[in-house]
Amino acid sequence: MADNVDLQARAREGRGKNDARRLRASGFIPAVLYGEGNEAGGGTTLAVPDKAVDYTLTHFGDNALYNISVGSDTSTARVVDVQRDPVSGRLVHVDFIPVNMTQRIEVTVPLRVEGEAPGVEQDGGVLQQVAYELQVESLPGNIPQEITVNVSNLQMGDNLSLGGLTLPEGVSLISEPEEVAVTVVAPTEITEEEIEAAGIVEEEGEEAASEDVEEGEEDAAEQSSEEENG
Amino acid sequence: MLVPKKLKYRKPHRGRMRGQARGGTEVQFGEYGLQALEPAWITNRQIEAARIAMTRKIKRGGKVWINIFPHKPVTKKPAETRMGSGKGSPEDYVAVVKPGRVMFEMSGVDEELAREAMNLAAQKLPIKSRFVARGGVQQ
Repeated sequence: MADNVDLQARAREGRGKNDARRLRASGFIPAVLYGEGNEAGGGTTLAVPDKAVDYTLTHFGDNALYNISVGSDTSTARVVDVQRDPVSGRLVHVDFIPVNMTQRIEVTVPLRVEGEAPGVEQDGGVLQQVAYELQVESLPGNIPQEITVNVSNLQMGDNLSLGGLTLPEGVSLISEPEEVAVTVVAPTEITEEEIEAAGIVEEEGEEAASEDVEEGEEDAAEQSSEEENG
Repeated sequence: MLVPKKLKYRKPHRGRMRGQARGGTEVQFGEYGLQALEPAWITNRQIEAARIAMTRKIKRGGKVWINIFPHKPVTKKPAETRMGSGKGSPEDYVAVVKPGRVMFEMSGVDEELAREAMNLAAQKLPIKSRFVARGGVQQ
C-alpha cells in the first residue's frame, strides 16, 4: 500500500449547483467528509483538487488513504463514493469517511488475473473471470491495492474459488469462499441453427431494404407520371 | 429479435431524450463495453444486427451481454396515407438510449479482438459510440 496521499482541501463556503459549477470550473470538486470520527459531527462540505483525487483513484485504486488538511486540521480518510460524469468521465463529487488506523474495516478489492492457463493454450478453452472484485477485512494500513490470482495451473473445466486465493498477511476474506473467481470453459460453438437464424435475419433486413428502395423508386415514378399528367 | 412479451399500452407517447443516462453507465458484467455518446432510439433490428456482427467476429469463445431492451413500441402510418384518421399502428420496438449508456458488453476475448468486434457492432447503430473497458487500477 502506498503512503497516504496529502490532500489540501478547503471548507466550502457557498451552496447549491451554481457554486458547485463554479468550483468545478476552477479545478476543484465538491466533496463531503462524514461518519464516525468526524470531529465536526454531521458532515463537513469540502472543496478538493480534482486532478489530485482523479490521479490517486486511477493509479492507487479506490482504497487509497488520504490525509485531508482543512486549515490547521488534518484527518485520515478514505473514499466511499465517487460520482463521475458518464460521458466525459470527469469527477463530479466525492464522499470521504474518516479512518481509524487501529480498527479493521471491510473494503472491496479488485481481482486481477495473471499467467496463462494451460486449458486455454493447449486445449483451446476460454478463460472466464467470474469475479472482478472481492470483499476483504483488513486494517486500513494493510489494504492491498489489488489481489492477483494465478491461473497457470488451470486446465479445461477447472475453476478457482475465492477461498483458494492467497491473501496478504493480515487480510481476511469476507466474500463467500465458494464463490468462483476464474474458470476455464469449453468455447461456445456457433450452431448451424444460429448461423441460419442470423442469415435469415440479415436476409430479411436486406430484402426489406431492397423493397423499400423499390417502393421508393415506384413512388418516384408515380409522382413523376402524375406531374406529367397534371 | 427482441420483442416485449406484453405491453401496458400499445401506442405510448414518443417522449423526449433529454440529459444523460442515469444508470448502466459502467461495464458491469464483462470486461469491455460499447458506450453510447448520443441519444437515440435503437430498434430491435439494430440490436440484433450488432449482436450478430459481434458474435461472428469473435467466432468461438467469448461472451456477449446486451444491456438494452426494446421496451417501447413505435407507431407508423402506412405510406401514402392522408393525415388524420387516428394514430398509426405499432411497427417497431425501440430501446431509448441516452449518452453514457453501456449498450453491449463482452468478455473472454483479448482487447484487440473485442475492440474490432465492438467496432463492427457500432457500425450497425445510428449513433456515435465508443469502446470502454472495465474501470480499474491503471498501472
